[in-house]
Amino acid sequence: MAEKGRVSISADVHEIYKQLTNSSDKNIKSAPFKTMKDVFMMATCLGFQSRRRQLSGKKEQPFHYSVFSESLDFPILKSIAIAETNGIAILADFEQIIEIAEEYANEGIHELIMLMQQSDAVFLWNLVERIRDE
Amino acid sequence: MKIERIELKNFRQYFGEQQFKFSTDPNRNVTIIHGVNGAGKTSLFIALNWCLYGEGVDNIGQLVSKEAMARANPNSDITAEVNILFSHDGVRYTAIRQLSCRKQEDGSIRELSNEKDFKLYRHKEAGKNEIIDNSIGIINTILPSNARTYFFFDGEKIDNFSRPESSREVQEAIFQVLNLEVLTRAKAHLNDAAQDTRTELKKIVSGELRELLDDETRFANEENDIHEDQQRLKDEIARIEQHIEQVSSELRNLEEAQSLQKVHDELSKQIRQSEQTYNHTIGKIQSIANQSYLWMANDAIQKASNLLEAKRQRGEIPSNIRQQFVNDLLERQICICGRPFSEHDNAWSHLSNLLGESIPSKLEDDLITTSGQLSNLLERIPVERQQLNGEMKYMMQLLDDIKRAFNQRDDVERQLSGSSQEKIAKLSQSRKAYEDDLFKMKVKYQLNEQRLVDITKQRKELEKKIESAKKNGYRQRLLVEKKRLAQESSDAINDMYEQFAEQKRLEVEEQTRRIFGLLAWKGDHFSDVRLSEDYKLEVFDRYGMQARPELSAGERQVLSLSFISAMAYVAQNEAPIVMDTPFGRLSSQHRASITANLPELASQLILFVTDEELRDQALQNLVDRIGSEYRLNFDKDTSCTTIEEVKRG
Amino acid sequence: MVSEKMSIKKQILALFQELPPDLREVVSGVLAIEQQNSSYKRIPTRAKDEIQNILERVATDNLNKENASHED
Repeated sequence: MAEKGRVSISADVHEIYKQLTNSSDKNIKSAPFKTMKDVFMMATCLGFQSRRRQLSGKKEQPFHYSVFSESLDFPILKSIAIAETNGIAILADFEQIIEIAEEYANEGIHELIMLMQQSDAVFLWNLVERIRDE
Repeated sequence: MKIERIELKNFRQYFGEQQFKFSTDPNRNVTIIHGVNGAGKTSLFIALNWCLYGEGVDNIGQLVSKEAMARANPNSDITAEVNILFSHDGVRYTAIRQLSCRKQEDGSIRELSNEKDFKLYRHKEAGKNEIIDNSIGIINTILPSNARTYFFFDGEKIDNFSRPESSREVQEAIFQVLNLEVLTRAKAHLNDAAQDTRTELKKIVSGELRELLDDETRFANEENDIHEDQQRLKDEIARIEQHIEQVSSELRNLEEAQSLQKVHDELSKQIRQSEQTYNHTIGKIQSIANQSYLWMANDAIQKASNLLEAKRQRGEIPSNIRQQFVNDLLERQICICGRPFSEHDNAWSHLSNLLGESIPSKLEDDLITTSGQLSNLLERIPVERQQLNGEMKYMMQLLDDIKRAFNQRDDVERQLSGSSQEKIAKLSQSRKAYEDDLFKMKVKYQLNEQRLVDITKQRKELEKKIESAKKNGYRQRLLVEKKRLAQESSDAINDMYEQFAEQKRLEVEEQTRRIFGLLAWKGDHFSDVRLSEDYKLEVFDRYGMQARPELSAGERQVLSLSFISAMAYVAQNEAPIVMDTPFGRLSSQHRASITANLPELASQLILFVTDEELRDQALQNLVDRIGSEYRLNFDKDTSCTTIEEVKRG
Repeated sequence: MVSEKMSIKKQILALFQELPPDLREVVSGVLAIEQQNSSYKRIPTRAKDEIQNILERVATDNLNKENASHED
């Protein structure tokens, strides 16, 4: 039963989200994200870049809308929604904006998984290489 | 918290009704109270602590004014009262605590206990006052009981933090003022609860479930053992580092070794600084990478920005999109954050209260604002990219520097070890042996940390097996569920704690450094202040050497004061700093340099001074910031103190 | 500096929000108990009992929910 106001992710990647955010000084290099929201945002933006979306199957709801930053996350989510629908009417429907993001995130998370699994290097450096490759 | 007024009624040596008014004007935020020892300063401290927290007083008979009791008729009651008017976050409160005693026929005193002996009021408009139910809770939100000893303190205790053996006190202070204590306790108690539940379960299960529980107990025990081991290792490491420093110190005093030792010292300093900077840089890289999803969204933002701009130019921006949105939400009785208005959540507000955070504000949906935000974000991207490139380059360079410095230092050590002078050679060799041991210990420490991570992983897998194992009956299922909840909550709190303990330590370090820089006398030549990972407060001189053993009383006092103020700043606890004879043991230079910046450290400063302490330059520095001033006059015959207001011309 | 501090608090709250509802209830309940008892050197027994009560209550709720969904 979906709880209102929470973001959904695919249940089978919930573990990945947790692994990537187990951030303390001890494993900053293998789990560099501060919260699951940050993993979600990265997955969403990576997914948008590859222009592919996926619908989720079974869902988990790791965090709440209020966790998004108003100055950084909301504008990005809105931009993606505007770019996706080619119009600004979408801004009136916040739940739709989130749904679009969720679908992109479902795609983008797989790219993060690939970065995690590159055998030799440490995740943080893989991530850095990826983001610099623009 | 800003104290406006304290009223004392028949409290200790304050006979009758007397009061202090404290200055709350930010430009004149210093209150001075003159008095010799025994004149009534301690009583005022006790009054503050007793009224607000009910603590710090052992023997009841001491509170009610002896003079009042003496004058009272038999079978009459005398009440001691402390009444404090204070404000916090724009709200005014009055706290009143009373203690009544009855003078009996035979002259002896009986305490009358009274449930209503403490009341806390909130002042509202039009002179109305509202009594607060959860008074203890509210006071603890304003200034936690555990933190108060760091704000209301006396000059004698002030150098508690800067002594070499004080790392426990420092750590405790940070934990308490920053409320981390709550997290560590919660985690420990939940662990205990999980353990208790496991014990209870083992009594009623058998077979597969029994074995799994035994495994779980083994893991829990191993975890405890490793934690103990880590603590021991830390102590060992500290000890070895001290030995190394001793050897270095001896070599510095040997003429033949001096110049090489100097090089050795310089290289050690470089290594230390580079390692610190390296860790810091990785942290910065992580921060940047964490938010770099912004860069990935570049195209989307660009497209959205263009679209908005195009619409704006064509005059097509509807002004009422936000209004439609908001109305829709209002109709459905839902707040922007998705929760129904009625239930802005106990869980949420509990934690928010704990952290002092307010409920998030509405989504700003104004299209003009959005447009502006998008251009800002686009501008940020190239700047952040450059930052990341810079940090990565810097990090590689640091790694090289560290490696090179280690190699060079090894060379120096080899030279010293081969010295023709036996004493030098021996010292150098022993230091090399210590360094090797140190390295081994650090490796062991790392391995233990890794083992802990593995155990946690295995523990979680085991938990899943326990959940799916066959259970007989409701009680077994309930206990398994309780155990799971306790364990997972404990782990969750541990995650929160780990994220913040380290960050807080760094913040306190940074602030201590800043404030120490303000307060310290420039003639002392200190270049750095650090709060190490094991909570040692250290001061370094310009050679990068630890100066603490040679700190004078004044310097220690300044260090402790800096530390306390830093914690207040980081905890965002606004509280008055109340200091008792703060300058008694300081040289005049130290007094002058501290007083020059003292008023900046707290929103309200209350100083108890003897007349010798405050004069010349120190007085000069404070005089413009004095908002109110009192003198305590102690009458030897009646043993009573009267408060006299002092006006400066 | 101020914005950095806000984000740390926001982080704690974010971590908190990532928890499922039953854990949120336990965590916030226990933290509230600890806060109330923070001035004691050792936690009083009644507070330990309160913690047990919270666990018992949430565990019972969870089991009831499980039963309910099995019956569907």
